[in-house]
Amino acid sequence: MPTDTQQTHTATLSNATVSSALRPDPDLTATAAELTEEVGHTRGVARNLTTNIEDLHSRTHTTEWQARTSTEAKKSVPMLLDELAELGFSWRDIARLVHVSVPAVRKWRGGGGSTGSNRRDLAALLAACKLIEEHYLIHDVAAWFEVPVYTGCSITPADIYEAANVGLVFELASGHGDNERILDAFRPGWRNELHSSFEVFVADDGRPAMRPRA
Amino acid sequence: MRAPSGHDRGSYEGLYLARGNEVALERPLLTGDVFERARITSPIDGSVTKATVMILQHPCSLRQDGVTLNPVLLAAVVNKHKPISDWDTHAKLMPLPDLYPTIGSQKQHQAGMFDKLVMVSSTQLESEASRVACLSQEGIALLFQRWIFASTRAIVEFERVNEVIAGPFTEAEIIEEWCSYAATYGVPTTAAAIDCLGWLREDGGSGMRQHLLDRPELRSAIRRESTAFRKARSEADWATLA
Repeated sequence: MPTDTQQTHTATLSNATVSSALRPDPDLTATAAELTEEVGHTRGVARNLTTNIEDLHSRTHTTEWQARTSTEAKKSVPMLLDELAELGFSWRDIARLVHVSVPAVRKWRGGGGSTGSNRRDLAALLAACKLIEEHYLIHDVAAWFEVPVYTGCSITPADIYEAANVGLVFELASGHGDNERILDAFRPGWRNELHSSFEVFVADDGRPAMRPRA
Repeated sequence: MRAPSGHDRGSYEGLYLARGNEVALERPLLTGDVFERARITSPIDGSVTKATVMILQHPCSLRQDGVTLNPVLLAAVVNKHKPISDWDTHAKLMPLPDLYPTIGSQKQHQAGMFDKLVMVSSTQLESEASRVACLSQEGIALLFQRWIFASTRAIVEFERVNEVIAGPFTEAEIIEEWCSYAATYGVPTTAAAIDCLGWLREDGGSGMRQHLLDRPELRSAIRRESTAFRKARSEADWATLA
């Protein structure tokens, strides 16, 4: 057990230490302020660097995509359609992604009715798929195009591609971007869908059905 | 309620999968199909007339065994109607703008009338009536959203309806593709549809393919598998179906 004298001494030392710690040291304050300034500046530099690299990545994607498109465009329209179908796209998906009707695609399969622009659009789609597969190791690219980007929201990479936002599709595939930020850039009101009052569930016959959300 | 995707540009192409001579003979009858010359018997006086109608039932309740259509189907009479500017209004109908895109008269734009419901004979539809349009997946989802509201006063989000019909719509696409391919070997459409449905109902390793089509991440794999299966089948095997 400490004596009364020892206890008083300890209390005095403790108070002195605390007082000293709380007393601002002008040198330390100045150093901390410099550090804060420096780290803040570095963050700004890092942010600018990230933006610049994102921009550069986007431009390299576009350049590579255009180069690949030119290569693919050497193929005939039926060949391009066959390759896209072999990836697992439906004729309807293909028609939608190149902005034509399903009967138009059916006609092209028979070898007729397509223009140079149609051929380039098909080549561009195939080039985008190959770029995504090769760079980002997405195994089933047609499935990837069909699956919603965010749980509870129906927007798919195909919707984004259809709206001519190919840069966002590459950003999504790369996994570097935040999906929410990509959806914000694509359709700012997309979060409204998350508050859906109905949900889809599997009914007892094994098929999907709808019911009010609990 | 949702307006079709091209509505703001005055374009209604997205509503339809096919119109007029674009309609493929091999396409299975599906919700939203529009038939001309459907025979209608009045429940009041038994008189028989012919009219243009649009099929209303969900794909899952159109057939008894997946192939054979139910003897009678629920449909809405299709009448001339100007395109509507606000799709939140006119809840008692499904607008069909540009149903006849090449006709310049008032007939160009039509609508399925939910307050003029009829029962039609599937046999008569297949033998005498003429299919003049098939809706796209978006068109079917819009039809269901409006039909649900007209029947129950409930608004279900377009996205949820679209999610529920995506599987059956993909199934119809695969059957159409299968039947078109089989036709090149002389296989009649009905036999090819039965053949395709048999394949879809097999367990492909992770469950019945037909049910797996409800999952967006598996649809492309089943499409690929279906194409590979058809191509791998010998001419002699196709001949047994002809």
